[in-house]
Amino acid sequence: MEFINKNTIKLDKEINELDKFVFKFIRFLEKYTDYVVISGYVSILLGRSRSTEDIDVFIKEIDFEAFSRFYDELKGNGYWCLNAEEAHEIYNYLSQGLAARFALENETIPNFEVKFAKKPLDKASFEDRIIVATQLGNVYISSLERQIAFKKYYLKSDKDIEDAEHIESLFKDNIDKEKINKYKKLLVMQ
Amino acid sequence: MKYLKPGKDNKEERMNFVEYWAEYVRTHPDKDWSRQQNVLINSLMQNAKNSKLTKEEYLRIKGEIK
Repeated sequence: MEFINKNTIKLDKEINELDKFVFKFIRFLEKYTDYVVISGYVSILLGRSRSTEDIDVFIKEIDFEAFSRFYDELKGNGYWCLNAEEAHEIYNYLSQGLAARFALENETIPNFEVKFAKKPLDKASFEDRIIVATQLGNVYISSLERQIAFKKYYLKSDKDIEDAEHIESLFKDNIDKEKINKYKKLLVMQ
Repeated sequence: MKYLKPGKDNKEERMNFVEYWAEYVRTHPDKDWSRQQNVLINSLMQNAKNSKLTKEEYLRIKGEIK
């Protein structure tokens, strides 16, 4: 894998079942709103030797009508929501800053954990999101520096620290350490 | 590539492996490391398909419902 420009990583990996699950969902989602994939799947997409049961995604807030159309398309393509069935109830959760989880119908894992980006730091993750270009198409992920800071200094579980270490080691020639420190300070203040 | 250094405990062992694997990914073609990674991920995806967890049980485990 390599950065082919400032904000694009080209990845020539073999596609696995988790990638297929993620990219299929993203193709529906991106018709309705901007998104950025954060946390575990980012590390996995970039080679970490683990899997995950949920894929975390921030989306820009959309109105109820747009959400309903998105949800209808999901349902029509064999997905369900784990939190509620009615669109207004799911939208209500999202509006409160809570996550809504979507999986293939009658399955629970893996699932997409979708949240409206509400906090300033969440919203800012759209400004410097980067593209990962694969055989299945493109996907937006949070910047590597945000990813490292969030996992290393905010989440801080063993798994998260290992995820951060993976990305930091992998991109040791591309990482901006000053940016990581800047995000670290912002996360502590949050 | 350097050899994998054994850790003094489980935590250090895991971190040493993370660093070793990141170096492997960095220095090998994407198709090479992803073929190995996919053995793990595809088998876990297959296990997930066989999961009998209901959505209520799952959300309770995640602490998202009582």
